Amino acid sequence: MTNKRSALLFILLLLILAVLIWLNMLYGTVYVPFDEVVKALGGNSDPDQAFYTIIIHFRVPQLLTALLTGAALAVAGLLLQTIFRNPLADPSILGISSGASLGVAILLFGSAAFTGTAYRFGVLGPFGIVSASFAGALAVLALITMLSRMLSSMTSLLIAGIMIAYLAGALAGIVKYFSNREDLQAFVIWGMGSFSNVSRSDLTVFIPAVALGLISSLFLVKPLNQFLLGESYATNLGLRVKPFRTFILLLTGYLTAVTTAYTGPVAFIGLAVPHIARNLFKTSNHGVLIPSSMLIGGSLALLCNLIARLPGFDGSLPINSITALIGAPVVVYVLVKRYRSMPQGI
Amino acid sequence: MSRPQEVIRCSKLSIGYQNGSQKKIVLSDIEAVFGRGDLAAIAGLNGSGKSTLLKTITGLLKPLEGDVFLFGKKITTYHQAELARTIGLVLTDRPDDYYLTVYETVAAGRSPHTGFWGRLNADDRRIIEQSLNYVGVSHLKLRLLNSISDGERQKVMIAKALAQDTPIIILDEPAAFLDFPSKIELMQLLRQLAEEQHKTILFSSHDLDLIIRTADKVWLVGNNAPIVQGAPEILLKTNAFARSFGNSRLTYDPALGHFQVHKFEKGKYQFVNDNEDISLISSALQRRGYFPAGDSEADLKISFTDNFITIVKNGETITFENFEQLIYGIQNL
Repeated sequence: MTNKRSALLFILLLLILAVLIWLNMLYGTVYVPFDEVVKALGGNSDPDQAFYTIIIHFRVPQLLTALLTGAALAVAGLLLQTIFRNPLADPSILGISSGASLGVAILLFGSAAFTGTAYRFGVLGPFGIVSASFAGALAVLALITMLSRMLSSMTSLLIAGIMIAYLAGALAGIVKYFSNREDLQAFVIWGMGSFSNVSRSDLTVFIPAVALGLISSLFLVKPLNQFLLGESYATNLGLRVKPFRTFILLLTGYLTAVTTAYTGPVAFIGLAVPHIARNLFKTSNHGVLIPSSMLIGGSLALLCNLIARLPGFDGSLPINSITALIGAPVVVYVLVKRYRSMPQGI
Repeated sequence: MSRPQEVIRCSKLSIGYQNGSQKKIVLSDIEAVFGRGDLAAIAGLNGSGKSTLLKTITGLLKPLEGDVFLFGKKITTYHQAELARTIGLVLTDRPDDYYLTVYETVAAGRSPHTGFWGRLNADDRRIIEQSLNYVGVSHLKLRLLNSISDGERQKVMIAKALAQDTPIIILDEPAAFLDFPSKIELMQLLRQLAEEQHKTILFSSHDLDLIIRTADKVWLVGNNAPIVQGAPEILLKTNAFARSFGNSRLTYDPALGHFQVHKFEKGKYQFVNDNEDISLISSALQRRGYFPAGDSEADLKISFTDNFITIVKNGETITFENFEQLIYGIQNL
């Protein structure tokens, strides 16, 4: 009976996702009529036509980016919440996103310092930002992995992560101070988050890179479920906890780094979505939580993307603000609902 | 009858923690053997190293020196997956996940036997149901693990260990948070497992009364004292408990079936003749600081006649008409 309920929920989530995908096709700075979308997607439209260009060159890449980023961050949040056994763990809280920001800041400043020109004229192009963001995220990740060997308590590790986030943020601030104006502007815009920075050609890298991380997470259902019983029990059930934990940290770092590199830091999806999934399906089984987090994360990102480009706004609102606006209340609601009924607390 | 098969052997074992090059040895030179169907207890005060010992035997900690052999094979040469099918563990840790159900917890016990995806086949499901039934928690299977009582949760964790289908089950302080009836029930369950399923069961406890009721073999882990092992009655006879616990005033009263610490000893008592209520009266006397006289001179001599009970205290005779009067009288001695 619970299986039937889960199946229905999955169908419902898929429907919501489909609707959001469709709405993201129709609405944006301009409205594209229904039949024009169908024509453009069918490919049998005149390539010079404006609607075709909007759909194929802007909206499809944008919604694919939103979908995959939402899914990736949601899965990263879920994995971190499970291995830290803490409902507040998420890629941005652990400083992984801040590390990515720091990487980008250093790249922008560094290229200006060495070449004397603003980065956006640099030879590396968007690939440079991706690499820098990835390197920054990995550096923080390495630091956290190292600390995780020294700190036995996961709570203190989490606090250390939050401190690293502050540290990276502060360093990025200092680097920004020395950057030239054009780069600074580029950095600030990158930092507000946007799903529209991935071009059609970037997609050929972005899609496989994110898909690789997402698919890898599906292979972790069994050990993640073992981990729910706690570290000692998981070890006794045959799980090699240390390599497993390191692998999870690396995978979440990878998912965060790849997406953050293209979209800028996107807050709260990683934190809120796993809670929504758990509450909806009333389970901790990762066989359900991983795919449902992907669906909900993707949908939430599409919804935020839609809101950010609502008609009436000139251009688009920063994604980061929209996700926080939706994500933060969700997290508070979930925590209140869950822990009020459980007197012994967290 | 043949010798029972050797299941666990500790040889020149030193246990403790290793932090880089620094070793902190908690206990050393441990020699012990446990056979098939043994129900053994590790007794010791809190902080004496019981948990460290259990963790080492379970393979969660590496031995600092010496070896642990399981079925004649060194534990350090075991593959972790193999170990998961050899030892089932029950801890006091409370899995803190919110939505974990009882069924899922017991099903996790099957995970060393399932494939890469952890799918449960018909056999796995049958074993899970059997395990739930055996410990008597079938009715709880759809409940959330954190919504049931401590005693029920402890049983669920034992069901998990049963589903794990291991020849050895190790339990760390299984009775620690349980109320008295649950403790007794739990110990009976362990006894049943050892006898019916021939599992080698090792549990730790600081509850000496419980250990004496349950275990065939006791390992006494004392503070700064060598490990003593033997049947509980032999350890009692040689006064090993008091020595291991470094407390000479700790005595066991076989008649009452529990330990006493002679703290405020007011005097000694002796029963002149026998009566059905002797153990209850002893209990009341001991609570007030009077202890059995043994061979020495008694301060209180209690005798029973058809209509009265008399206590002679320092030559003075006090008479009680019935048991109830006597008990309240003892409280005013």
